[in-house]
Amino acid sequence: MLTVAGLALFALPVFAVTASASEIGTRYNPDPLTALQTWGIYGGTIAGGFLIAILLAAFSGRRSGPARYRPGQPWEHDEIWVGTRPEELERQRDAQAVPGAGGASGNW
Amino acid sequence: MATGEAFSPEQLDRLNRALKQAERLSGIRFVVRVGALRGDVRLAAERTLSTVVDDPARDAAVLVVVSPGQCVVHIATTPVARRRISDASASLAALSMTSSFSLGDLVGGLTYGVRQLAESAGSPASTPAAIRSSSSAGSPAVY
Repeated sequence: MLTVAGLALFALPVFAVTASASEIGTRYNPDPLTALQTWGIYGGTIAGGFLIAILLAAFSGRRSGPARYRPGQPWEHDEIWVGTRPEELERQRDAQAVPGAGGASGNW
Repeated sequence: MATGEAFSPEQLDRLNRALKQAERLSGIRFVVRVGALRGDVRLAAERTLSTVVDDPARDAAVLVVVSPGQCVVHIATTPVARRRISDASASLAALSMTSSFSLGDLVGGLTYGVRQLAESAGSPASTPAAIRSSSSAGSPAVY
């Protein structure tokens, strides 16, 4: 979506300038484009679109806020608790293994 | 430590809702801890489990500990919760979680795993002990 918008933003003025040029020949015999104009329209539009898309992506990436955890990367964040944290209990207990506790482990 | 939270507020909200739903369904307290662990993961999880409930010997609680850096998950159940969530069920839930974790979906794996644990525990009223107590307290059984 952003790429299309960027392309339109870049291409529309170019096409508008071209269309508003006074000497464009007739519909049967248009004036030929110079090599520079051809490259400007066909190459410049594409390159400009990519440039705008890259700039928009870089800008939005910088604006996205704090770094989230990315899978596969080492964990460099504080621990996260969901549910009751030990500090939230009125009577805090020493950490000791409970006899008869169960469970299972897994690796990935 | 990196600045900011590892999970977005939306992800934390999703996890919170999954835990609340699991607690409502099963009557068991669920706690999830994501972060680095030192030493034996199982021992660390069981020690941590004893700190998140008032009475570890009487309360039903499940602690899911995930260490993304070490790629380890451990599900610890209190003795009371273990009667309803067997080690085999916990192992299946751990397997489901690690399948999602290996695809990079940490929150999805936790959400699904917690839901699976709650479903394997069932509702408090459907446990054999509850059925026995309700049948003895209610009208006489017809044979």
